[in-house]
Amino acid sequence: MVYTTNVDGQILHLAVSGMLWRRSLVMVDKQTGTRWSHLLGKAMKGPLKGTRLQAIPCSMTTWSAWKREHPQTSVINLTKTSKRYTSEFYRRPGSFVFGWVHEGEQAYAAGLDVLLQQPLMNLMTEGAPVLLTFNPASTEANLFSRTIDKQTMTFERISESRMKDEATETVWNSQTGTALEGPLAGRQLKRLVGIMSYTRAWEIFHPENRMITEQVQ
Amino acid sequence: MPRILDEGCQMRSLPNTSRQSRRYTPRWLRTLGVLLLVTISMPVVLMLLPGDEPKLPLQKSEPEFRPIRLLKEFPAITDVPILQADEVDDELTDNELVIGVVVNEEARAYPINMLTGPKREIINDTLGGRPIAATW
Repeated sequence: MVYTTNVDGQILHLAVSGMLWRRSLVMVDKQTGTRWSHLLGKAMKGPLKGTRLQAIPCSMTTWSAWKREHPQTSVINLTKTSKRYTSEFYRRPGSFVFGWVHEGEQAYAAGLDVLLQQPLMNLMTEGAPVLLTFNPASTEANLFSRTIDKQTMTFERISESRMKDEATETVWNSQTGTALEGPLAGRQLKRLVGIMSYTRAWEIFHPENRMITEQVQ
Repeated sequence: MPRILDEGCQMRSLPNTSRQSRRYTPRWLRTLGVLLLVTISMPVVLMLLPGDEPKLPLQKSEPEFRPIRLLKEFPAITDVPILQADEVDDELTDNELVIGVVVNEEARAYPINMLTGPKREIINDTLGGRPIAATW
């Protein structure tokens, strides 16, 4: 998860509190000592209790795929603490889900095994049309709203990173949600926040979770 | 609130205005009274219906926050060194997983192999002019 860390004009420096809640990281900010749930992005105890951090959509992907999409990217430069997190890591289906929380209320998740079978899914969740795309090569999953100009779009996969919408046959980048060629060229689908998680960790943290097994259309 | 009065509504004088005038309630006031009564009583009626939960927008009950401590608190990581894409050497391999973020058209990657182990799970940074925290 990536969060914006200015709250009421104050920049918070978040740190690992050393505590877990529902087996998930509890963060602490050094400015006020408030404790925050990592997965909820919400202050649970302390002076800022009840405050929600704004989550920024991010993608978990491979370095090569990210560089390709964002040639001007920078990268942080710290020593490595692990070597195992490569795209191979996620090739064990069933252990991982891509999960998200609809409007802070209902949690949904799609297993990696399902995503490998259906790398593009048009979904309807709580009445909201969303699009889930997956690139097996980079193991990158992305979530978007399917609404453009108050119309619900339905998408069809063309290739690993390309899709088209049924209504206008515009071709889109399925990782960035940007329309590339056709009547809607230049348009951008709204990105929604979702994360890759261990299946069990997600289910423990979100007991009300609904697993997605197939698309609606 | 529904509009109760029509535009140009006027009080019409009644034919018998003597005895009844003391108890006379204008029609619009009666309508208002009925509507208020209905509005107030609807939730009460709904609450009394057997079986169903009341359909009022109730606050979702807060999950109980009971964290357990495993380790001492860590310092916050700030001022992380940054490299441009072309400055990165082969140490960062093509198939390594990163968390990629774009803020105000500025893109940055946070390799997960640099974010593992309790100390590194939160990276405070500034991207596209905005203070952010990338977490794992």
